[in-house]
Amino acid sequence: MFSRLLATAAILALPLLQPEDPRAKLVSDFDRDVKPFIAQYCNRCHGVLNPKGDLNLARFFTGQMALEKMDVWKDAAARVTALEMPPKKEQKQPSPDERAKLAAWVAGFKKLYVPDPGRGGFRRLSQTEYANTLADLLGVDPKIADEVPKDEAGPGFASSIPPLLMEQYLEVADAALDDVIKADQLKTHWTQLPATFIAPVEGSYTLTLKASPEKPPAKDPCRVTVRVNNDTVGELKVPGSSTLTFKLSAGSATLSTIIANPPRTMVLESVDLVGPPGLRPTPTQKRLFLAQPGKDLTPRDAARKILEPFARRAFRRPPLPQEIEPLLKAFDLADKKGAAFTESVRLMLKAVLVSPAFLCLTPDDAAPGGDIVPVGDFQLASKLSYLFWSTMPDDELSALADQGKLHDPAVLAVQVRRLVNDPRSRALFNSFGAAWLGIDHLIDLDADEKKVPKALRRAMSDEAAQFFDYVLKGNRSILEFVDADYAFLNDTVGKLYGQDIKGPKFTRVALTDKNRGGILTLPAVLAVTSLPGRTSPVKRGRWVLEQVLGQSPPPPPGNAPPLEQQAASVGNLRKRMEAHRQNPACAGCHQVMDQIGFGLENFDLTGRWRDKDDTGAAVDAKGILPGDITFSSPADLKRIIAARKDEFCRTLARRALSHALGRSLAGYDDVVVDDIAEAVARDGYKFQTLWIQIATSYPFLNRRRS
Amino acid sequence: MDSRWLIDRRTCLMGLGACLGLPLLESMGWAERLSPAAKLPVRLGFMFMPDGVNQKEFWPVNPAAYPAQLPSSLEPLRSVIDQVLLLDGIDNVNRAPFNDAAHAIELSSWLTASLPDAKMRDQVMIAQSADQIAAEQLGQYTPLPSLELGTKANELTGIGQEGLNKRYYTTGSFRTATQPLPVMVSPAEVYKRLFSSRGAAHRAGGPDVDAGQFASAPPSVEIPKEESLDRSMLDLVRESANDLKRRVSRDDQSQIDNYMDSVRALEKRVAAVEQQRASVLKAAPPPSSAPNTARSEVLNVKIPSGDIAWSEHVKVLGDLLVLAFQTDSTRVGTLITSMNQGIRYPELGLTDAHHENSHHGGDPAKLAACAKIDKFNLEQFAHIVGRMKSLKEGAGTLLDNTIFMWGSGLGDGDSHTHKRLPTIIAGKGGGTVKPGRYVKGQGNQGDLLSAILARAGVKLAKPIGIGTKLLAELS
Repeated sequence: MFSRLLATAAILALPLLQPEDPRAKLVSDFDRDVKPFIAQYCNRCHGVLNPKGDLNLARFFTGQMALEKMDVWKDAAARVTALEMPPKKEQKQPSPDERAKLAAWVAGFKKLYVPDPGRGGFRRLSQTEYANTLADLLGVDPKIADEVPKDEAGPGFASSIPPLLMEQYLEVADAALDDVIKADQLKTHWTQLPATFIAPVEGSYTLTLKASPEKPPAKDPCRVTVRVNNDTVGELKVPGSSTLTFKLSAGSATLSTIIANPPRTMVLESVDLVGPPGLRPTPTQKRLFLAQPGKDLTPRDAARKILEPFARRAFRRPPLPQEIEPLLKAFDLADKKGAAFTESVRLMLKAVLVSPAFLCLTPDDAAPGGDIVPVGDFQLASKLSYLFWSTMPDDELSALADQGKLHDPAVLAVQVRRLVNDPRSRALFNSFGAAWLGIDHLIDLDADEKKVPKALRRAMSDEAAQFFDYVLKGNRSILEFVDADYAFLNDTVGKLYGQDIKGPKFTRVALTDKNRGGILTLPAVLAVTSLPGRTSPVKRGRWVLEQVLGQSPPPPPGNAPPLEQQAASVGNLRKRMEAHRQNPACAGCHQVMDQIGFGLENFDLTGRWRDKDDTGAAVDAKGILPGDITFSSPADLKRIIAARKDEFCRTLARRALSHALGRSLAGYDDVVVDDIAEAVARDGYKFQTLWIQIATSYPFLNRRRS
Repeated sequence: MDSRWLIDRRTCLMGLGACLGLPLLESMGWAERLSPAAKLPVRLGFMFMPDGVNQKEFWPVNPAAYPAQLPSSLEPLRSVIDQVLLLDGIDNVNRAPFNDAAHAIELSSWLTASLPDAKMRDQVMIAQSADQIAAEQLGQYTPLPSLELGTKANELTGIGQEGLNKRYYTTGSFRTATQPLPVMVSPAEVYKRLFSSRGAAHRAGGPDVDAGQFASAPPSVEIPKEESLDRSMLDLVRESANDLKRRVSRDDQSQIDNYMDSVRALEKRVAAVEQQRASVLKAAPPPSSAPNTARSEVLNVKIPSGDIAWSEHVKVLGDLLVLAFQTDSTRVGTLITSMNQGIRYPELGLTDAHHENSHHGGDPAKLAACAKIDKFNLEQFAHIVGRMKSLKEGAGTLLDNTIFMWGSGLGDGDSHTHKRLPTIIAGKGGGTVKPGRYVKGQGNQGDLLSAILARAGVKLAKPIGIGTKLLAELS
């Protein structure tokens, strides 16, 4: 006891030496604001003996000890603030002032952290990003990458590239380059035969043979039979006729020659095969083949002229000299084997497409500085375009990065607005919106195909996408996510709303029914929060707590008895759930979760309105939330949740920031989230403001080097 | 193991499998050289079901009456009961501090006997899995180091319970501690990866393949000139990644290592395909004269197209694994029959998912559903074991040279226990495993995995995961 007193004294002495030290202040505030609170309101259940929910708050003798388990205190304070704790049945309830003091103490945690951008900066492209980038880079259909398994970027993204994926990258690179180069005229140049080539399309091709006649000259010319795949296509004479035109079908072929009248002979100099005539290069080819070897340009120099701008775009930053050289060596590999220029270029481009600098987002060249440095302009351009578009930066972003202007907050804000207002920002719903709403795997949901057909799931998902996009592009208040008086409907989804809409096109429909509108009653959400055979108030309630209010109820303890076991399986679901809550092990979480879930029981597992539940009993959507807030319909419930603006704003800010950074948030991010949420609230909760705040936040603009 | 023999065999057999069928083997004299006494390579297979079992219907009540009296869930194994070892008493790693993420841990620790790194939960950081340790060594002799199969794609982005990366819910095979492996889902893609050239997957037409026809009429065997350059090109690309490595954080350097390692694997793969084609070109198969007695004909797998039922999907993936083993295209394979809280089994007429039923709380209806599911899973396992048994190899069968383990990551789905994992081991592992018994293992999952690997000739620097020794009860 004496030694602990000494220790406490030593800690208490610290503020005198360092009056600003936030840790010392928290330690002393613990004794003043927290300890008495626990003793008075929590100890009876969360004391040393048989603590409920395994939570023993009495074991924290000192602030120092409490600060070692900050998560415990964050959770406790959140529950006290939400009036969940102490439970209503307790006589002794803390005053609002006492509750606020506990919350303020926990809010002080964030001052303990030094700013840190956290991990990140290097990751592979997701399948979506990879496919889109190939499409932008080479003008191919993004479907060309369909054999790569689908995934999206975000926190929990597995960035490593397993061998199978590497194999697929190589195959897709081949297919993409086939696509790009195939449509070209064939233009080959050989110095020896036989040679293999690929005729891009069916058509007529012209062969030009350069050869010197044997010396001394013979009286009759050497007759050269030209063969394609062992079929004779014509004959040339040396000296004499040197060009030959013939038809070829598309595909791979081998060109060879045979001397028809030996012992006549010739010395082959070169063979050119060109065709078919009249084909114009595609825009991609024009952008790609910026140079051809000629009198003043060696093939290698021509290749370099092609490579440098291509690698600049493919790597989303200027390539370094040490990156260019190995790629040119790839050109040499084929060139030295006598491949046609186009074919050698093709191998070089393929090397670009399997390089880590293409497949992954990589930091700019090492900047001077300490452990934490600002992200380079090129990396910033990529972070922005992949965040909002899931593809590479366009010319405007790249130009700004080249000019070094992207770190200017005003420029950044203008760019964010430009990016979100572009049609390509639909990608943000697929990568972020769908994951936030938990509907990203709706199509694979293990549900009864008859009850929730795939076509309906697709329509549900599209409805959610339309809604998200409308709030985003219209720069509307994020609070509309919780409660909107409109929805986007088409013929399929309209039926769930009891509306007769014609055609598959979505239109914005004003809603008169206040039970509808917003994410809580979105059919897609109601479907994923159901079980295969029935609705699940628990899943729905939990969804609202997690995705909307940012709370995370722990999963049930391993030995929690399931529904059926506790009370005889009589009555409808609600009655059984009520029995379930009699069990104190379950009551803590289910009190709130189930109440919210039952408020949504009027919607069946596809989100269609119903007055009777699965057992045929009338749906009772009444409920009571902590703080004696009652509701009796989904409309009431939505209104109550929507009023919790700041909790929702913080939740969305957290989720969006975590997505943009591609990692889970840590304690040092709390202060960033607070700042973002406050700025968004000040600006009328505008959705675009949220994204501008994120794009200009400290962790987005900085990176860790070690 | 006679290494000279291995190299010979590798040269002949380099992934050609069904593409060539047997005539080539005979023409190269390999089949004749294979005397009944020759030691054949041991193949390792691992087949997973989530959510634990209904223990009452799975474990024998009266060990003395085994196998005459079988628990109802084991009934499908009756025809191969002398070929399987029912292994009781195997616990896996204690789940703390991830108590609330039972279904993430049950799969990711099944072949690692390890837990994720608690300090970096949103990333993947666990341990190389047993199958991948084996693949690293045995894989040098085959065109594919290992084959990962599953009924559902497992690339999932997100954070699950306990803040864990969602890949932990969907991944059994980890090539390195930080590299979760994807599973191949499409039987047609698996087939093409095994037996035809790379690139065929997206260039060929529909997914309907009849392996038998395919074997008798191999596709075009020309080698595009450029393709042989791919290897050198990849080598250049890999070298240049070293430079990038210097510019990223230490955390990210391991990702670049993974990348470089995968490129190296791809180089090997390209080489294998080249060699495969070269040997096809060189050796025109002579007419087959005497029937080969040492070995069965190559298994004819029908690849279905379109939507297929779960059981059919598992069977065809299992057949492909058998085919890969038979043709020595790989010696290591995993088959994740379902994951992430299981599936719904509409084939059994069940409405709730496996996971919902596994939280039975003693409810007889749910327990019955679980027993039905367990039995159905073991029917698929028995089918695959039966296939291996039907294929002759050397003096015995393919199954004799295989260790094929079936199991679940939980003992009981209701309590989420990691103890008493249901485990069945089929095959004799080249004479190193003694099947036909019901035994209680004196050791944990790590000991078991270590013992399996050791019996396949894999050298271990230390026991796997929580293991401390080699489990003795396999023989």
